Amino acid sequence: MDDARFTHLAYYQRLVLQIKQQVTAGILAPGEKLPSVREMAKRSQLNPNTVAKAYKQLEADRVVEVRPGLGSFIAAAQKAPQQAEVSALHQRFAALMVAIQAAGVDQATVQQWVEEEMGHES
Amino acid sequence: MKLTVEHLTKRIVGRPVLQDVGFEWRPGEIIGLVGENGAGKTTLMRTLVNQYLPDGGTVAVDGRNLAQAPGQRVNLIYIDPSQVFFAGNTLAASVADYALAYPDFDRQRFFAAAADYDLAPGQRFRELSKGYQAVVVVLLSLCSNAPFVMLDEPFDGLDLFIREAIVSLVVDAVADGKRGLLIASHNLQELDGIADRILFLKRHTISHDYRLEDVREKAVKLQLVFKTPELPALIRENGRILNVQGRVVTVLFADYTDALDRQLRDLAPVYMEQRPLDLTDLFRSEFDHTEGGLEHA
Repeated sequence: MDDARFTHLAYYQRLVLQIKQQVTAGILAPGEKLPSVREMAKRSQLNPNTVAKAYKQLEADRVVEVRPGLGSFIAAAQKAPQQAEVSALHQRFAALMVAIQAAGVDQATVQQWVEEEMGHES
Repeated sequence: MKLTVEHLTKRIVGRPVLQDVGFEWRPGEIIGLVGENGAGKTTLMRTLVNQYLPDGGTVAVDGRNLAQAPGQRVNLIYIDPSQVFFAGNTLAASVADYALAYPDFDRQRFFAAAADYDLAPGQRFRELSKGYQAVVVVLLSLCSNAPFVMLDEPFDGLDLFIREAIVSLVVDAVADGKRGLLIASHNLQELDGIADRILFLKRHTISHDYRLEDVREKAVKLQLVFKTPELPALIRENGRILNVQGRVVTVLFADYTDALDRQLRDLAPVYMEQRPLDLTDLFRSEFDHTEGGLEHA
């Protein structure tokens, strides 16, 4: 489950990405309950504080919702993405595109990447 | 609750082993104590529980100096795995001994957890394999319900199954925030993902106190190739050179900011790729006997 592409990230960031991936791939469905922090920490052999931080980030990103006393659940799929988030992501994408072009990667390759990453949704 | 160690000093046969050691520790925290073999990790643990009498300094729980308030010692546990007094005893007898010293000892939890590993109360510690002995030491320590638990090289030489079992026990024990762990290891990798903080014990004292997740978030390891034969000054000023192979340099930047990223790209490297970050790269200087990095070839 540990994606080699993310090994340079902090563990909580890796866990956030891993859960987001499972949501976009449909492995985790809206309404599904995430394991408790303790259970997830044991399962992933991570510090519980790290898991708690990841869950907090997922909540801030509205991927999960916390039902007090019940736990964390996968949120319903978002109909329209939040404008602030979209513009922040757009900025990061623009910066990345500059680097990609400077490195001389052609458009066809970039399009191929986009299809590889988003293909499973179609 | 808080455990505070200040200016702790210990000499053994005239030789300083601990000098001015200080740190704070709270329940809910897993602290890794890392240092080379012989750095003084075990001596520190033995001194914290008064198995060795300190030559100076204090250990206090919530401001109460343990030397003056020995009753507070029930808040700490350290079972020295290299010198257990109960090797010839049955597990049931060891539990009875520890329950005497630790009134909150959870016998039920001990025997339930032991049964998960097919350990019976009548078995003698000495007869168990190395891995199961390690599990018993961890279980006794955690079931004491002392808020501050010290484990000395709990993963050393164990197979993956036992290692995972011990990590699960440790993670489970801190999850409710009521217990803190101090785990000594000569191998930083063993604590990766588990420890909140790493204390490096070097030259008889704590040389650094790092929060691993913060370090990981900021650090970046890059492989770079520049057109010019000599390395730009920016690299040396901001990074640590890990390796040079021909024109390819591997550099670790402990604090990789967006500004630094722009400056680097402005230098127009011919090749620039992020590499997986290895914790030992990050802390290489902590282990080096000779300070100073490699020279650029």
